[in-house]
Amino acid sequence: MKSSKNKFLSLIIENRIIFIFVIIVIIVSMIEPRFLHITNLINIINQASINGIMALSMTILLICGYFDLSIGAILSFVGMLAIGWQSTLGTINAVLLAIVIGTLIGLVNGLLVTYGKINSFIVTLGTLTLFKGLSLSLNNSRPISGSNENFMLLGGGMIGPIPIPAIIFVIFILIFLFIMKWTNFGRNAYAIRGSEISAKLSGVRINLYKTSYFVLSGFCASISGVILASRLNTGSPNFGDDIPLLVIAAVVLGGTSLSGGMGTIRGSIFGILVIWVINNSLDLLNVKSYYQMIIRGVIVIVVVLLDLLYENVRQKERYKLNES
Amino acid sequence: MKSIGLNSITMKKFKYWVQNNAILTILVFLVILMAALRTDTFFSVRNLLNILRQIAVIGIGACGMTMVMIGGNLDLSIGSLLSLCMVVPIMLQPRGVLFAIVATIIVGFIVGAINGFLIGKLKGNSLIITFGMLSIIQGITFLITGGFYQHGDPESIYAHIGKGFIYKIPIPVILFIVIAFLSFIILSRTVFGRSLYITGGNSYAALASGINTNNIKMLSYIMLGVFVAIGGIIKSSMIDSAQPTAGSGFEFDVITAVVLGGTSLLGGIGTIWGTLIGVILLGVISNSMVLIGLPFPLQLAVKGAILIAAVYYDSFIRGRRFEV
Repeated sequence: MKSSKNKFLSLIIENRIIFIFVIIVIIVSMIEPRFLHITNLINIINQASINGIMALSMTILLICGYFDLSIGAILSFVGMLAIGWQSTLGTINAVLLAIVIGTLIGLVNGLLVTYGKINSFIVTLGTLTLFKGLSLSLNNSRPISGSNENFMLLGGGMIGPIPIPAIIFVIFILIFLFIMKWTNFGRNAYAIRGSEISAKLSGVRINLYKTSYFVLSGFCASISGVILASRLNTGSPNFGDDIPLLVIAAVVLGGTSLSGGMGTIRGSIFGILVIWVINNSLDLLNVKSYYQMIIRGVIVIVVVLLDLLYENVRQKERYKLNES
Repeated sequence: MKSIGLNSITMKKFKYWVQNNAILTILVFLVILMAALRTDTFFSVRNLLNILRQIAVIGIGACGMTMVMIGGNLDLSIGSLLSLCMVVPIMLQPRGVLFAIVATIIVGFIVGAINGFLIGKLKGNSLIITFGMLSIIQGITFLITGGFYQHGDPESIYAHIGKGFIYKIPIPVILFIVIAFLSFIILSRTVFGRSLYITGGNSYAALASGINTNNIKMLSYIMLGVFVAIGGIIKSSMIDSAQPTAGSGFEFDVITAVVLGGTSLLGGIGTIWGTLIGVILLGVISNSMVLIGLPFPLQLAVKGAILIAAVYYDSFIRGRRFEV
């Protein structure tokens, strides 16, 4: 009886971000009944898809103990290329080539971090500045708009009642859940962070894995970039400015430690959803955008503090268990 | 024979010095290169003072950020704090210059104290807490300005802080030097400074040796807040106006400079001297690119490339030293 109670308690504490999510949803749906309408819920997933896809790959990187600040710059750069090359290469070729280029940027990040042995924060800060500059110079600091209507289907189209970005997001979630649970590729991220030397001695090719995590991050940012560009039918150098901080904050909100070694894909998904549910409900409640900024900041801080409270409770529980 | 031996010793010493000061050697190399390319424009007293004037605000912020980062934390909110601290004095200026300055410094103090309280006392994650504060401060700045550009009075004494000279040296440069010297003394000669290094290096050991790590971290944030407030005063009086988004990107510039100067992102390592070199290097790079006449987007790209190259060179040379 008692052990099952303890198990239940630890289950709650392990998945605290889910409970925070549920509490927020309950509060919001009591204030504003329109929130629970099915189209609004699908809309939230649709809105969250762009940042969500990047949060998935960022989770693996953070678990492995690395940062990628360049995702915002990759997102804008890839979006601009995909739109800009449409007229000369054809839409499909332009999109594919743009994604390849974005993935290559990830490869460069990875090679510099693993073989160049440079701090990932600095490397990706450098590529951020570099590609922000390049995308500004592509069209004299102005956004580019697309000419092909079919391209807009990717970001704005629907299959049945569900928007395509939401479907892509869900597919990515399933793939990442599978990777982290069942493949070496995902689980080695924990192993490498835990101890690089023991991972190496047990036959993990650490440089290969580390590089491929960065490649994955570049790939995911490119996909998001294409979706965003197609949703707005525009590529702009300024799209990605706030994205890295937002994505990292969402991932850390979901329980991934900034110093690595800890974290789950599930947590990150709920971290992203918490942020978008808050955004969505503030919009529904017609809150002015200046107040929205303040409220969003306060909520982020409150959630972190709640998280700390849980952490303290858990530590006390452990202490009690050790005593008895 | 004797002289050759002496020579080889000085050569070894020289090599050792170069290995220890890779970023400084890059700086010296760049200055020599620019002096050769643009002797008349670059190497004039006026231009050199101009470089110092341009980096003064980033430099003052970087001194504070060095302390926070040595303590093992980060602050992402300084960009929006800079905007707020530019808006406040410009708006309060009609009620008296001294009142405006004191009020701004109090604002910086309060924001630093809130950050410090949440991170030092309540042990929140510094990245997320300051990310939340970024949003809150931005919202407040937009609220008090209504999102509009604020104009100051160019005739008032306030404008002299940014534009004035004392013995032909710009006042911002003097303030920068004073604050850098003060930070140097604080970090290397006071109990607070030495405790900060231990706190960042090993928080548990610091606690065990009787250091109140909470207060130390809080104090480091307060110092940063006040320094950024001073930076905001200087910047707003330089341009006699304030924009609610003027400070965006400031946090990246500052963190880049501090990390270039050798401060570890994990805490415990770093010096004001290194930070100064990082700040000056960034200033010289920007200035040289303007003198050469690169368009702004390409300047960003080159800046990113130089950042990666500089840190790669630094880590390359350090890696060699450890191998030998």
